[in-house]
Amino acid sequence: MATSVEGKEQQTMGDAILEESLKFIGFRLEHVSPGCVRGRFTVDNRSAQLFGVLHGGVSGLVAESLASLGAVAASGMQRVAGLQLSINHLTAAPIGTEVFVLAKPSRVGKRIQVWDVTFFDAKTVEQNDNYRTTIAVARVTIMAGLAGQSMGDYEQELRLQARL
Amino acid sequence: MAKVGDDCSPQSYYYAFSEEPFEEVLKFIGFKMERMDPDCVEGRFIVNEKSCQPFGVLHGGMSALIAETLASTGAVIASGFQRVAGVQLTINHVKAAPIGTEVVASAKPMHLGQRTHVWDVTLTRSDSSADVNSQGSRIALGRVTLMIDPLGSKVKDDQQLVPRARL
Repeated sequence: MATSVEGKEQQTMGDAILEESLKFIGFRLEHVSPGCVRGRFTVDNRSAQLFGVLHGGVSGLVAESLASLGAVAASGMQRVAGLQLSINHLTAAPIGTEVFVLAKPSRVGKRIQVWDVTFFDAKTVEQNDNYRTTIAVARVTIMAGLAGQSMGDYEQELRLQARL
Repeated sequence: MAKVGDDCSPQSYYYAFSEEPFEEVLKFIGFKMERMDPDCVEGRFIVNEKSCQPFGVLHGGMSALIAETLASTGAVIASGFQRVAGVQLTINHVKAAPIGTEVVASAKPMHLGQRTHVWDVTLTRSDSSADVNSQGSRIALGRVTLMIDPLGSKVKDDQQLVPRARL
């Protein structure tokens, strides 16, 4: 788990646990753990809407995906199901913007988890710690502890990624 | 692309209606538009491995994306082809839709104001024996709030309606 090659390894390893649609828009997963899920993508024609800015629904898709990933990790590899998603779109992100996505748990219970997902303009994150341009904020409610078939390969891959 | 006119405006996209959606992700999952009216926007698709999450059921985020898309499309049309921006989306996932399910998504306006629109989007299973309006077939319930003409009429340039996503 050498940190120097962490970035590259994550890029290829993330593919095993990332949804097809996220791979389609070019999303790169950076970190998965029970306390934090991070990733980034660049807005292009695959994730834009008619007016040339990031599609709000794509933000919703990414928010639900990352929150669910975190919920599986935080619940100890249980099966989870998204119950509710609420997202506010604050700033337009035109094509070419690199978006940094950060998902953190708000509350992790035995049955119900609530995750907060924030979308930042990646350029402003690197430049200045004090001021970051927020593109969207989301809150996802997830139910954990569901009975279901074993997750098989998915669980293995996620364990590897999340270092559980 | 034949479905959008030379000026690539939302109007031309609307009048040259085809069942292919504009958004790349919706094309990716095989979503087909069925209806684009100011009072109703509808489409359907079949859940496959591209639109499901790791447990073999429809991805909740995909429902969210569909909700936002249909509501935005409806808002553009119902506002008279002004620029619109989604500001808030809320969606409840009430039932799982496993791979192979045919899902119908329908968006209806709840409030058509001058400054804001509120649209209700419902995703239902088309194969359910229950009446489509009843609870039995509903998969997700969404509500989208949109701002009409967010940049203000000060922007005189017609360019604001030209989609820059056409590469």
